[in-house]
Formats: sequence, structure tokens, C-alpha cells
Amino acid sequence: MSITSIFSAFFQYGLWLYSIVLLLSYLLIAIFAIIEIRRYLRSASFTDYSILASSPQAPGISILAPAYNEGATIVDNVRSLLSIHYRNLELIVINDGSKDDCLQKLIDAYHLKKIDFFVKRSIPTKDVRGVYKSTNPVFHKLIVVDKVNGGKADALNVGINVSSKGYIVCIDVDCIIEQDALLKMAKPFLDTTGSRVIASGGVVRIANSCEIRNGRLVKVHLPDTFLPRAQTLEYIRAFLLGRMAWSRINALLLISGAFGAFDKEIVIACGGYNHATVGEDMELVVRMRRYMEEKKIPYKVTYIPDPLCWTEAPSSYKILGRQRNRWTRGTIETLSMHKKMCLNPNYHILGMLSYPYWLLFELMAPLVEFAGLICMLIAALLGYIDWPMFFSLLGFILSFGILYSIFAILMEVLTYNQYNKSSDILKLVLTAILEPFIFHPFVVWSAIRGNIDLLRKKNSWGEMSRQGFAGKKTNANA
Amino acid sequence: MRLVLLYSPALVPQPHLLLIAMAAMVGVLLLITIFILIYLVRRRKHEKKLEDWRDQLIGTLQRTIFFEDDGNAPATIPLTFKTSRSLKHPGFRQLLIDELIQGKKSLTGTAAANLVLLFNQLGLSRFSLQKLNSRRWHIKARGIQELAVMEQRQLVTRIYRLTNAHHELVRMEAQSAIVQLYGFEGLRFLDIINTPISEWQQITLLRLLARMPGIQPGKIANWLSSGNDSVRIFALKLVAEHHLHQLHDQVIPCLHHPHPDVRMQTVRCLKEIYTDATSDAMIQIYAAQNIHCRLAILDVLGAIGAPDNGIFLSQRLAEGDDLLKLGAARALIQMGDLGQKHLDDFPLSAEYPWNEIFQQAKTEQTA
Repeated sequence: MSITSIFSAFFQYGLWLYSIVLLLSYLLIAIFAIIEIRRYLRSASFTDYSILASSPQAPGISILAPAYNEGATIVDNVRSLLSIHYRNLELIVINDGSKDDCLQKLIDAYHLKKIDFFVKRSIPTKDVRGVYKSTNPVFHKLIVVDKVNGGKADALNVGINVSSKGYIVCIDVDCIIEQDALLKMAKPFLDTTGSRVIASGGVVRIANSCEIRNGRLVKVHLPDTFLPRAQTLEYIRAFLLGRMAWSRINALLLISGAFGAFDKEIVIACGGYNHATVGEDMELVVRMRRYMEEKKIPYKVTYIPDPLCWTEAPSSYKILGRQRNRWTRGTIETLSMHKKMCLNPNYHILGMLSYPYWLLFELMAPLVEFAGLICMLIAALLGYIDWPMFFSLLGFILSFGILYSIFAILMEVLTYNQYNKSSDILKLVLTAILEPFIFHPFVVWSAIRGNIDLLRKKNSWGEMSRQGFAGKKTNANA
Repeated sequence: MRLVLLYSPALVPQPHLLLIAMAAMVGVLLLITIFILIYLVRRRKHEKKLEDWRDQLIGTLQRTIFFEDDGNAPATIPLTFKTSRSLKHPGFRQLLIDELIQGKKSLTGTAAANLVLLFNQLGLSRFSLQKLNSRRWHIKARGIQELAVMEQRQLVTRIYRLTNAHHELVRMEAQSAIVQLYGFEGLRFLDIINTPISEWQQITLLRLLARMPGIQPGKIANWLSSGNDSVRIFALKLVAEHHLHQLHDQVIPCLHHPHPDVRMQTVRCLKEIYTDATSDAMIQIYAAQNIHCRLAILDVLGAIGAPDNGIFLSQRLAEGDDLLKLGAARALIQMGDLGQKHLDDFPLSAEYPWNEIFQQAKTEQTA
């Protein structure tokens, strides 16, 4: 068989099959998401979460919040986190060698005093400079750790070493967490019998344009500008459909770094967060799952569809590009670190479904799409394109994509209905129509740049400048 | 959505078929959008109606809560004509049931009894019973919850049968209902249950029982030897919660149970009911436990604070795991001067990590 015929066969059969499987997978995701969300909502409709708020039997939870140069907002953010409803709780803020006055502001605001604290190095980390606790009993739940800068993964590992509770909840310190978020997050760890819940994720929503007062979300609004609005739609699709569907079949590979709960014993047994990757959130979940599979311990990774965590989405193409570039590198690094699992039946659904799906349809999709575009341009130049067929296919695939987004909007309206004005829904529908032409090509291009940066061994996080909920400019990560 | 722009003439449907599919999808898309918009309008109307009904119910509920029975005729809570008429509407009825349940959960005494009185007077149990009869698990579970909160004891046999139901949530609601209706007596389902009781359910049951008298240590003693590990764990929690010192000797054998969770719970339980014999029993099993159980044992030994444990605890300062060293140091500090002397006499007390560990233990004690 000649190279030309192989190339031709690849395009004739390979890409067509790829597209069909991808479209079918979206259909299956939609179906599984409906089943899982319905089950969850029915169960939640008569669950009294307040039982846990006051129970001395409630499991201990340590919230780990790494902070780097968050001086502008840290005091309000910590105040917001301290107001979360949960009895057996400690809040550990890890100052990751901030260059600003982040630590001093915390010391002043919360009357902190350096204490004698032995930090057991269950996971190796950069040095801890000091541990602080408040002299005011009102803030007894707060622990502030000052450490040498080592990045988010290292800061979280220090938090794990310092924490005294059995479960850890890792969050971005600038996120807004709903007051009852921990009550809802703790439940899956408690109501599952027969298998161990090792991690649980919560839905992250976009807070741009929302009304925030004293670190609390007061009123939900749809973002005013296109880019955050497109991300709102993207998050609804990803969290309400994608992750709920994967959770249904216990095949979830990713829990957002912005808000996730973990069984600390398993996290430590796996060695904590890996600072050799910029996708430390996904890598940890994959490693924990791999650990449980290799130890042959029955386990689950669960997901909660309630909007529990609100975050500020990038509102400029520059920052969005950096974020997506990093996500791509993180995915590639994670999948290459755990390539042993790919199509390996010893890892069950993890090896036979989750990993191949991520490899083919999350990691490779932008590459396939980009390569397809280049080939199309070449074919067009050479006059090989059957234009009526081309536009029919293009229209078909665009209609499918937009329909999928509209279905996600329908699910949102039927479940949590956060954007309940008709005008908001029409704006979201319009965003769904525009997204394939503006937002999606940019995301694909950022992913391609992520691939290139990885080949060039560029492994920085990239500065994530944020507008801040109060409209101030702050630097989140470096 | 990913775009694949190349096609194979051999495999791809003809353009007109793709166009038909596209048109169908655009049609569905438009239908969904119209449906969403209509749904939002109807939902807003429904919410407005609910708000009106809620306003209407405020007066009824206030009159119910403050109703005083004159003791002559059978007590009847007066209702307005409007409320009586609205009761024909299923949505209003359900709202009233929900409000009565919320009220009943947060009130006690006569006010709570009056809410039950209104529930019975209006024959609302009929509608809760319909839910109980439903084949859909979430409706059945809701029915059980409503009947239990509104003290419909005449249905206890029906509900009791569901305490071992196949569906977990129905089973849990039935178990909670029986305990709500009969207090500690209701826990008799523990004698027969063959499924595990989740931690969530144990917390729920403990909370329900916390408000109720009539704990029977004899029955708990039986559950301490149950073949169902979760029943045994729950019994240990009951012993600890109610400080049932008389069951100490029945608790001790659980330290040798093969399941680590049972052993762990036994240690925690013994912290609440310890006697002079407790330390020896725990020291005996210490070496065979995992780190969590060892830490719990050290914690209990610290709480007991017996001088005889000093040597055992000071030996633990040389344990491999730093957390166990810290646990032993904390326990010794809790013993007072004698424990402090053990720390001072420890040959490596000036070296890392012991210096930091001892310092932390001392700081915690003075905090």
C-alpha cells in the first residue's frame, strides 16, 4: 500500500470514524448527565444538610487556600471563607512566599501570632517559615502558614502536611464559596457504603458581573461581555453535562483545582500534588484513581451539580489564552505521566474509557481540528473540495454543536436556573450561536500553542491577572 | 464542538441528507429555545402564585400555632373560606404540607402539636399516604418523611417494612421515620437489618435520638455483638453519646474486632466511658493497629491521664512516625508533672524533631 493510499484511507475512514464517535460520545454524555442530575436532585429534595452543620460526628475538614500576592483581597477572602457553615473545620491559608504585604495584612486583620508548630513532612515541600494562629478566639479556625515560594502544588502540599483533619478541600483563595458548600461536599464521603469516596468535586460557576458584597455572592448576573459569557456557557456544558455524566459511570478524571474535596489519607499515600506539572489538579485525581486501582480497593470519585463555587473568568483574550495554554500542557503532562493505563484492562473503566477519551477527544481534538483546517485550505487551493458537500458537512456539525449548547442551557434552566431572565437566556443562546466562530477557534489556537510550548519545554503557569470582584487589578499566580 | 472538515465520498451521506439533518437540528434548537422562554414565563407565574399562597398561609399558620383548645368539643382550628377553597388545588396542598413540616421541625410543645392537629383535621395524611404508595422511590421517600414528621403512628407497620427496603434512600427515610415515631424503641430494625448503615444515616439517627429519652443499654449491648459491622459501630456511637459506663465490659471485646473501623470506633467510645481497666486493654492491642487507631489510643491514654501509662507513652516517643511521637508527647503533657518529667528525661529531647514536637505539645497545653 502506498503512502498516498494510506493517507487517503486515514482521511476516508479514520477522521470520519473519529467524528462519528465524538458526536456519539456527546449524545451519551447528555443522556448520562440527565440521569445523574435527576437522581441527585431527587435525593437532595428531601435531604436535610443542616444535620451535619451541628453534628459533633461530622467529619473534620481542612480548607487549603494557597495565596500568592493576594494582598489586595486576602482579608475579605479569608473573612468569607471563615463564614462557611461547618462545625469541624479548619481554614489553612498558605502564603506561598508572596512579594506583597499579603502576610502582614493577615497578621494585622486577624491578630495572628507565630506559634510553635511541628510540621510533619508527610509530603516533601519547600521550607515553612512559620505557622500563625489568631489570639482572638473568634478566628480559632484560622491557621496561616508562611512558606518559601514553590508554586501552587507545593503550597497545597504544605497545607496537607499542616492539616489535622481527615478530609481536605482545596480551593483558590479568590473564589467565592457558597455558605453550605461544605455540607453538600461532605455528604458523598458519608453516604457511600461498599466503596471509598476518595474525591468529590463541585461545580464552578463564573462570577463576572455578579454582585459580591463582603466576600459573598449577593446576586447572580450573566456576564456583560462576550468572553466571560462564552465561558459561562462552556462551564455549564462542562460541569452540568460533562462531569455529571462521567461521575455517573465513576470515570471522572478531573476535579477543578478551584474547588475539590479529597480523602487526605489517600492523597498522602499517593504523594500529594505533583509540582512537575502545571495541571496538578487533574494529575492528582488520576494518580489517586490509579493508586486505588493498583491496590484493588473499591473507590468512587463523585461530583455535585449544585453551584457551590464562583470564580472570576478571564475577560481578555491574552489571559484566556494563557489559561488554555496551561490547561493543554497540564493535560498532556498528566496523560503522558500515566500512559501505562491507556487501554490497560487492569485499570478497568479508567484505562479502557476515561484515559482513551481524554487522549482522543480532549488532548487530540484541537490537533485534529487544526490539522483538518490546514488540509482543507490546501485541498481548497488545489481544487479538491466539493463545495456543496463541504458546506453541508460544516452546517451539520455547527448545528450539532449549537444544539448541544442549547441543550446545556435547557438543563441549566430546568435545574438550577441561575440566569432566570428571558433576556439572559436569549443572550446565552446568541452566545451559543457565535461561540463556534469566535471563542472556539481561539481556544483551539491556544491549545495548539500549549502543545508548541510543551515541545519547547516552557513550563510556567503564566501570569493570571484578574480584574477582581471589586474591580481592582490583582495578580493571582505567577 | 470539534469540526472535521474533510470527508469521504464513500462513507459520508449525500449533501441533501446532511441538509435535512441540519434543518431538523435547527428546528429542535428553535423548539428548545421557545420551550425555555415559555417555561420561564410559566415558572415566574408559578412562583408568583406560590408567593400569594404563602402570604395566604401565614395567617392560617399563625392561628394554628397560637390555637388554644377550649377542651369542650373536638378541637378544630378555624380556617378562612379562601384557604378552604384553595385546598382543592394540589399545589396549595403541597405547599401547606411543606410549611407544616418545616414548622413542625423547628417548633416544640403545643405549637408543634397544633400543626399536627391541622394536618389531621384537613386529612392531609391521605395525600402523604398516596406518596407512600408510589412506586417511584423519591416520592415514596418523601411520603415517609411527611408521615413521620406529622406523627402518623397508625402507619408504622407500613413504614417499618421499608426499613430493610432495597432502595437505599427509601430504607434510610423509613429508618429515620421509625425512630422519629418511636424513639429508641424504633431502633429495633437494627436486630434484623442486613445492609450497612451509612455514616450519614448514623449521624441522622443520632441526632433524632439526642432529643428522645428511653435509652435501653441492654439492647445496645446486643448490637455490640452484631454481625453487621455498621450496626456495631452505631452501637458504639450510642454508648459514647450517652456515656453508658455500664457497657464498658461489653465494649472492650470490640477492640479485637477484625474490622479496623470497628476497632477505631471502640477506642473513640472508650474515651467517653473509660475505667481503670481501659488503659491496659488498649495498650495490649496498640502494636497491632494502624496509625490512625494508634493515634486515637494515645489520645485516650492522654485523656485517662493515669500515671501507670507514663512508661508506655515515653516508649512511644521513639516511634517511627512523627505524628505518633507528637501524640505520645501530648498524652504525657496531659498527665501533668509526671508526664512532663518523662519528656524532660527523654534522651533525645533536645534533638530534632523531638525538640519541636515537645515544644508544640507544651504550647498547645498552655493555649
